[in-house]
Amino acid sequence: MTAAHEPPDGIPGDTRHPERLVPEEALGEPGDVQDFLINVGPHHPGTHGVLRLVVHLDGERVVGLDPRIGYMHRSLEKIAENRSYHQIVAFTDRTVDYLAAMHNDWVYCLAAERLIGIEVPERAEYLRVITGEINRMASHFLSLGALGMDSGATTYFLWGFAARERLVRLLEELTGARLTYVYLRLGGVIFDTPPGWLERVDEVVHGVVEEIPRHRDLFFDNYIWHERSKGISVLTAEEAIRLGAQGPVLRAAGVKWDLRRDMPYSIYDRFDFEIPVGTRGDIYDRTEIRVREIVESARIIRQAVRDIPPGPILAPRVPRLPAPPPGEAYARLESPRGEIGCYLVSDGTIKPYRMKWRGASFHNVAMLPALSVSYTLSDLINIVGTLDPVMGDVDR
Amino acid sequence: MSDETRPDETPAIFRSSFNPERFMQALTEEVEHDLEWVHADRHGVLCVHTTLTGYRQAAEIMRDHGVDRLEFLTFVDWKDRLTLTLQGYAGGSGEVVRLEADMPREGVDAPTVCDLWPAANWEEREAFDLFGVRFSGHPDLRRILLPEAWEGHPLRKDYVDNVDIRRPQYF
Repeated sequence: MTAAHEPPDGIPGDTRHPERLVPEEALGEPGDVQDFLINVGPHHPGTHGVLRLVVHLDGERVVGLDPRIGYMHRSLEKIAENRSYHQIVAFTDRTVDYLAAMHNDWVYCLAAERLIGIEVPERAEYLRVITGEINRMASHFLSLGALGMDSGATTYFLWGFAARERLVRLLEELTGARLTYVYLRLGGVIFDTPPGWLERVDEVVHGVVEEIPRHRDLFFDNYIWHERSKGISVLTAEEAIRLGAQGPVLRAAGVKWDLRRDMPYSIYDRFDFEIPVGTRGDIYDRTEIRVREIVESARIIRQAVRDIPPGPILAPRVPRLPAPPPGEAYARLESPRGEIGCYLVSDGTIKPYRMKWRGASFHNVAMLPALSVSYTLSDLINIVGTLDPVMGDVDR
Repeated sequence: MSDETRPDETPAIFRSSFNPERFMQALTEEVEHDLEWVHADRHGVLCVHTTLTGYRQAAEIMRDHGVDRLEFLTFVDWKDRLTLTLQGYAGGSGEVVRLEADMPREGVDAPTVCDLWPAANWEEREAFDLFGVRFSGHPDLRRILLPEAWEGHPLRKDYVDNVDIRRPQYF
């Protein structure tokens, strides 16, 4: 892969490269090749889970697309109507977006704490931020690695996983789990840090970020990746807002919108961090945004590790079976995939009357037809990869 | 992706920031009798409650006054009625508006809003799938999460699950 390397400056920007590996003529004019209707998925490594795409092809070009979802629907919302408020935490991190389990627990806890009226202690807020940002870094590394796999850079897949492994080990040391942590509780978190853990967080996060230039050398600055990503699936800022793009996809289109800064929750207003934005909204920018967000997450973690106060990690006197007064509460936060939300309605009993889960991947996958029409089938796999859908979040 | 082209603030592509007074004025003037009540709930969300007839018009006013990000669209089944709930916020200023409309459980279609917010397309398909309420004017109303042949709409409170009736009862 390194043989074709060329510095990124030499690569033209926002249009397809004139010397693309597949010349325009080879793709054919619309209408002169017979139409195909093919199924991609539901069991396809390029669809990141059980996403089925019914693709209408004209030769190599996508002319129509119908995403079929629901293969992993487990009806979290119905399950939640039958559980107490404490029990639901165990569902939210495995039933929905399992690659960002911390964030899903967090948004549920935020909504439930608002509904019940629980104050979270200071130290727990810091621990939530630290674990959440570690989870964001791990999730982005997995997404980038999987994208390398999709586009043929199998080596980078392993690099992404190696970096993620170091971060996941930190969470494993703290919570005892590697994927579904169930670390958050209503009113705080369940475990305090083991001795020396915060120092190790600092060290590992620093080490992972220091390695990013090597990742760039291998994959993101690679000539082949630039060829395959620049000018593909361009999304303007207006379209991104109109269609409801989420998270990195929205920011890659040039919209500086991040709930951590613009509608701050928890203690994010205390940290100093940048929100990376792109200019073209193509798949190159979406990848670049994720790489930069990893660096910004590391900045937040370092500040949080520096400032974390001692004290309790769980609010005192949280009822065992909370029965909040009738009413509703909504909480939203910025997960690695975008804005997720939880809408809880209480009727005064110990079980939620209604829970509505708002997934970021659901909205991003809904945009897929608008993003992929007129690009080629091999681009489609990369477009799905840069949307970073987690099917648990789409199907719930 | 160079630094000098990066916009520093929330860009102007978000519509002009939301003005609650002008929004309220437009609501009271245009929706009139279909506007039932407006209040800020205890978490500071502006809740607008209309009849089903006024729902579509109130949604248009929301959209025109800068609520350009749709968060969710769903129903709450209150056993004697359904509450159609839609929430969005203004990207420029972060003001949240929740629009609610009560409707009977059977026999009535809800008006679609997916021409106002394209993101509502799949949200309405999901609401149709799980609650069985049709959206008039929706371009592509199919089941989305459940198979086409599924019987019933699971999030209705009177739904009987024939698949596994021996589910353990915790309470």
